[in-house]
Amino acid sequence: MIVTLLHIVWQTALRTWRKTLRRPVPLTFSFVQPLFWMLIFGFLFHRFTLGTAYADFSYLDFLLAGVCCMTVLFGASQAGIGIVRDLQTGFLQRMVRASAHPAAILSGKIGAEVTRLLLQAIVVGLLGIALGARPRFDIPSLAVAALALALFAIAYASLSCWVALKTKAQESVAVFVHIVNMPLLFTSTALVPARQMPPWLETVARWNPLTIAAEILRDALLFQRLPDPMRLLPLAILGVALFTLAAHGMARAADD
Amino acid sequence: MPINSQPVIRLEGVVRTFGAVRALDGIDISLPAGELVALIGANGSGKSTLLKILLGILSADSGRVEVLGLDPRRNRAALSTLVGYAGQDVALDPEITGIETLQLFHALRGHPGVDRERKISAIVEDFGLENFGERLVGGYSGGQRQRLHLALELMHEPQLLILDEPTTSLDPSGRRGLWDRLAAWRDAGHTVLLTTHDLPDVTTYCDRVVLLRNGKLLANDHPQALIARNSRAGTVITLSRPVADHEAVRRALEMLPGSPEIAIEGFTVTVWRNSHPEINEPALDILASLGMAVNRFERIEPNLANAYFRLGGAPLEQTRRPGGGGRGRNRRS
Repeated sequence: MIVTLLHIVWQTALRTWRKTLRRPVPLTFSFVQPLFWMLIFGFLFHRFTLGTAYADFSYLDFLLAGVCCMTVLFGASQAGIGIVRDLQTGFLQRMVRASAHPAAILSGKIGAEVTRLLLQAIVVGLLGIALGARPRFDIPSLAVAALALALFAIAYASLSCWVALKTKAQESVAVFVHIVNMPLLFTSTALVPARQMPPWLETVARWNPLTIAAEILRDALLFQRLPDPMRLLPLAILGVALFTLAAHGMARAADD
Repeated sequence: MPINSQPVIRLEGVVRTFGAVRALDGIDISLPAGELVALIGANGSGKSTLLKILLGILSADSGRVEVLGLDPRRNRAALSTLVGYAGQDVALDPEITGIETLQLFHALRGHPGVDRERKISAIVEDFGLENFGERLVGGYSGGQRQRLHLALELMHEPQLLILDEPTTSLDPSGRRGLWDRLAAWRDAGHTVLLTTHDLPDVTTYCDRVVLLRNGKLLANDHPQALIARNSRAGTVITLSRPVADHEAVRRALEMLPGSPEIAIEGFTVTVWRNSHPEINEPALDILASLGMAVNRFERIEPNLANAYFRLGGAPLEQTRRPGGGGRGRNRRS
């Protein structure tokens, strides 16, 4: 049973990776946006006062973790587009009908997206270093940060897939991306520390999952600090909840 | 290999409504294993609703439904390994190759990974995918797509294969290839249920015809039995001028032996009888006596299309083929 499930997950992931690699243009462009953010924001805010907590770091050092998380956010939010394409061709319905395990199909899809997004985040990190950022990390704290990013990616990719499964329209996924991404980004600490925000925004930012992921990554990249495991809990709960929601939608896809 | 003498499909008093429309109206069908069965009927006759109920996608409002002894609505996961379904749309991913598609579905069907290569090689050979299996599906021709489409549904050797209008996009050779493949599958002991409008091919290949009209079951029998009971021989006579007095012509031709049915339309008069006269066509003499010049005439043997229309199938225009003459023109004009 477990072997069968893993086989489905692996083959579904393999399909997603193959399709990604056969469309190199969107993959290439996915690096351009974070590069611009680091160039423009890094230049614009290079004299920005980060506060005492980050006194030893440049704004680019601070920004790097935020842009890595932003890359994951924007990439994960588009996971549903492939689902819509599959729904429109009827291929998704066919896959779900063929299998007794629709959640395994979703796992493969989300797993492939998360792997890609983590690799993209690493490439963005390397681009940041090339632009002058100086992260100081160790392996354990970086591994925990990668786990936090993966949980965030699972949650957000699942949400995107659920929107796609419910609406079955690329336009709806695009609207979802525009409506949700920017508010989520600007109410987080991806770009500025919480201490520099107005009090109400600081409160909102504290509950923003992007903040949680960005702060864990920032702690790893700048302070080699392992997070309190309880900080991972909200991301894990969100990931499980949204994945369950999307898996339910996936199981119903065969009804179309 | 199948199985036992239990019906593959059993429907008892199945009713399904959509608002005020009764899409299925008390359907009773029992299909034995190992047959190639055609489900025919006009658009809106209830075929698609019936297929969706068999696949567990829709539930019946009332009545009993069993597929391979299971309630399809409650046992969809179990039936997914026993039933293959290929819809009217050839749903494939254009961005992966045929072999990659087979590998994916091999996993989705829950087959063990150990014999994957052997199994996929066998499918590639069986379905003639050797020459294009490594190419992206987006570059396939219609026939190549159809072959892969079918291979995906047969790779797990389902006890029951359900196909929705599989011949629609195929050229004549592709159509023949598909029918031969389905017949071979049936000969190996499996059951195939398909919807189609290809009545001549149904006559050649199918063991059973299930005919629906407006959600009601009109027939469930062997094609030759349906033809023998319901079809008639036709003579299509083309005149040099359109018929002016329909009633006079009709009255004269109805005097012929065998209780003929007469259809008149423009230049064409069609006489339907139980069998063709053994010698000359007496209808020609009658028309000549009425002062009508005959350009040519053509005989049509009893066939399924004619039986279909006599049983109350859809209007002729829906299945008339180019050059088909007046086949099935059994209605009085």
